[in-house]
Amino acid sequence: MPCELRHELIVWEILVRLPAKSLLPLRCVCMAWRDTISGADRSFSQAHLRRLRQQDKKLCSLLITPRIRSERIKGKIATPGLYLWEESRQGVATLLHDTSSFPAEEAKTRHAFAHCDGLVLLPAEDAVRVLNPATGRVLELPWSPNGVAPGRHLVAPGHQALGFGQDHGSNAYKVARFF
Amino acid sequence: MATREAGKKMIMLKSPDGMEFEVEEAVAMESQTIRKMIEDDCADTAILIPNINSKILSRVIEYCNKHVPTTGATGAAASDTVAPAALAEDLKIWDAEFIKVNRATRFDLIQAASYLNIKGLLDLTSQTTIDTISDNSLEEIRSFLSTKNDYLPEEEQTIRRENQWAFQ
Repeated sequence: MPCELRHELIVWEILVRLPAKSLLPLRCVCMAWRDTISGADRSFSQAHLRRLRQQDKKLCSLLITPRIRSERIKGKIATPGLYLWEESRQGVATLLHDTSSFPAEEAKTRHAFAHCDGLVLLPAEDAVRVLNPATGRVLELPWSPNGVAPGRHLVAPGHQALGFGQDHGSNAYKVARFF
Repeated sequence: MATREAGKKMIMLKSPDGMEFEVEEAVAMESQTIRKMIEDDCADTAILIPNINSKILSRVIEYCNKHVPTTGATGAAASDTVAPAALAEDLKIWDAEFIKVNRATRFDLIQAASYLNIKGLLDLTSQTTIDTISDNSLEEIRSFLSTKNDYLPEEEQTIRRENQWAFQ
């Protein structure tokens, strides 16, 4: 066809401007788009992130809600999970990721979470996970005998802090913890 | 370099089909690519703009003429009488008219804006394409951007399953 837009222009001028939510279904368009959007080469996702950082900062917070077991209020119970609160949408938090499928989902098992570039580190007693709310992917980290909570009925005493951030040398996201 | 009006440096831009456009230096410098050439002293005579035909180049110049920050005699008069907000609104309306072009022209404009590195024009032209992508089905997107679905049916099923939450 005579009037085509070159693949590089589609990728670096068009796709890079789309929000993650509209971007993901576009992986179905063709293999080249899939490889660009979520392939091993991360230059596209990095460019996408850079562009997001340049945009106007919107005031927002990540909220985490536990499963609420109420004896008095029967019926509708909030979905446990990760919510996004934005100043522009007053009073309304959007559910980013439903964590009700995770085992041991109790109020007491959730501990300080950390986030970096939209990835969320979610330590719980059963496992430490990294979530990507934009893609819905969950990575469960290797098990450690050291619990993340103050020892309740755990054999291992004490609890530990976890660190989460990006290694600027390798661009990899890393979690630091004791094993 | 030609000088038409006192104090205004002119630059000659040439398209590969042999047309020449004399534009004010300030207008040409809306393009970061041309700005770099001028600043590096690579632009003594005419600048040849490769890959951009005269029809598209003239439209790009039209855009830059409209968007160049208004200074000097004519510009000052305009901005003295019109409030900045009204000017911005006026530009928006002008942009909306400017971008009412067919698909091929729009793609050519994206390519030209990308090569010449004109941020405003790139934002304008790509945004309309983004709107098209956002509002249409995968099949329509493929035909709009002349992209072929090269998945095997079972591969497509797999990636669609992965995406399920996004299609909800």
